[in-house]
Amino acid sequence: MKNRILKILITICVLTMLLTACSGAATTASSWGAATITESRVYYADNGQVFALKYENGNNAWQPYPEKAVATRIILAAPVEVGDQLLVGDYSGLLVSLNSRDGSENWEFSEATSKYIDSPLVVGETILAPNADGTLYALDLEGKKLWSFDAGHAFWAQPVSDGEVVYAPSLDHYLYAIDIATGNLKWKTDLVASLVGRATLLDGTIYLGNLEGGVFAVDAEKGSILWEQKVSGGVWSAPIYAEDKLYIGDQGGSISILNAADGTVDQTIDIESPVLGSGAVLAEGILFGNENGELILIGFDGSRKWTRSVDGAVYSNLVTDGSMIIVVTNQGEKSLIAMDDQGNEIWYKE
Amino acid sequence: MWDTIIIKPFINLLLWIYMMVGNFGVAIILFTTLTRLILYPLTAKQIKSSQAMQELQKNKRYIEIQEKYKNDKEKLAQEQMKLYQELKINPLSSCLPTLLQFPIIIGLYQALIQSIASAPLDLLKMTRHLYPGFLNISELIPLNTQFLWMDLGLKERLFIPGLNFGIPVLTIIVVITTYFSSKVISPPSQPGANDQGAMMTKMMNLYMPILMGWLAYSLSSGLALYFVISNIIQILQYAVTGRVYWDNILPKKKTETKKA
Repeated sequence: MKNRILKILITICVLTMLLTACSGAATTASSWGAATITESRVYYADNGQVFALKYENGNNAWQPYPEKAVATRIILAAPVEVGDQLLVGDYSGLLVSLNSRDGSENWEFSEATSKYIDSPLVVGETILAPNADGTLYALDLEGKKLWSFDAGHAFWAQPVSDGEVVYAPSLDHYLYAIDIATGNLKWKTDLVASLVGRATLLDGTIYLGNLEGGVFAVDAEKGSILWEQKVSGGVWSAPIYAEDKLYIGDQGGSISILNAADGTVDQTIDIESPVLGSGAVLAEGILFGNENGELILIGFDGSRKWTRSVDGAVYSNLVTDGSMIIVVTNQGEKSLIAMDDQGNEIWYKE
Repeated sequence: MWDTIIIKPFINLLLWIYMMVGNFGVAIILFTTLTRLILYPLTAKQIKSSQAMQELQKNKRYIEIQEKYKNDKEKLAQEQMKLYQELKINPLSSCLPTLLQFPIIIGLYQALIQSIASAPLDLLKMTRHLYPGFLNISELIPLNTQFLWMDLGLKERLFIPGLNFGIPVLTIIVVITTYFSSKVISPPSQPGANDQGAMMTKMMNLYMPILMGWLAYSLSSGLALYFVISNIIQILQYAVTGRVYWDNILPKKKTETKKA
């Protein structure tokens, strides 16, 4: 009799595990980790924790935040350092300011009702935090809300700004231009499909791609589309600008090089695996990571300079300070790898 | 293989329904109803087999065998098998349909999670599972996941002015409907029938609502909605075959209680 009851309990436990495993809600991340690099630190969010790693060797600068990961708390957006604060957004809608020297909590902002998929942007003394509840929150550096702006659907990407206006791409297909001082809408432009990736702002032009593979140049003042182009797959990250060209990786497994002036295609390089994260500009070219775990350096002339392999998919934006590259892998044995500008490993984090 | 046979068709069907009706909550309801109807032959077989096993417990020979060989388990098993063969009952046939349904239900569940696509990795998987040319990404995404007071991609909580916490209404409905569905489809225990079976049923009736309630509480409300609709359809399917025992949820008369 007792055995039978035990069997039922075991069955129920197995069922629970199966269902929660299938959902990806218990412990499996539904996105990928991300990192930022500063002069002395590499900050890294992976699933349930934020790590402050020493730049030179990857050792913890302070205890991870929170000290123990809990299944119900997911943190995947790259932490952002501003002064002695480190801003961390999680999947439950909590935006936390940590003391970047020791990881202790300064304040938290809990008004959002959905996920912080990407990092906040700090412009002067204003924090601009995009949330999947469809609201862009503007806070001061003490965490007090200044204003909020509601879009038709989620904000997944960190916005860009020229210091006065913030440009926020949304899943509702629109790119919004919002006045930072007042939170008022300046203009909005329909870009045909969902905008899941970041934009690049340069000399009054915003460059970004959509989930259908459309790439657009938008006038930052008026919101008009200057040109549009089609690439081989959905665009999940910001185009990289270098030497009058835009380098764009896409879900179709290609890197397109477009002329920034008119959007004409200069070259398309097939790398046979989806590119979701932004590339990193190095001295010799642009480094891209792909789903197959390859890091490919594309020279400014469009040639392949070198390829390195890592264990796990590379979905996250590659970050660099010019001399060190940080690669975050998805389900790789090494979750974060610090490399030199030739792709040689310096240190890693499991 | 799993993706091709189960996940892809489910995702495409669910999203196609969504495109037709324009509301993801309604799409989940229709999709759950449709898949449950498709699985109905298996459910009907399971109901029939369970009934046969239930009736067997009232069989005179069966009771005699239980009594006679209660201390010799090997012999008891042999005699039971003989009886099954004579009465043409397959004891596995009541759980086989459940086993067959299980992967489909898991697939359905995965399809639902990916279709809601409330985070990048889910959206990435979802876009890969769309049949080329069947659904248009720009029309499909973003999904309108608002249904009644819920965002189907998020955990459900109803916030009432004056309360500083949300009430998990859908979780409560999941617990109630799971309890009711498991209760009304369990045949009442027969006098003289073995107590172990009754005890097991009682345990399941108690633990399943807790399990489903916990899942509804901690996962997105789209899944909780799926659980509720599944429970309601299950009750209806049993009602169609005349195997719903409403007495199980009605308060028993005092005299009956005394007898028990």
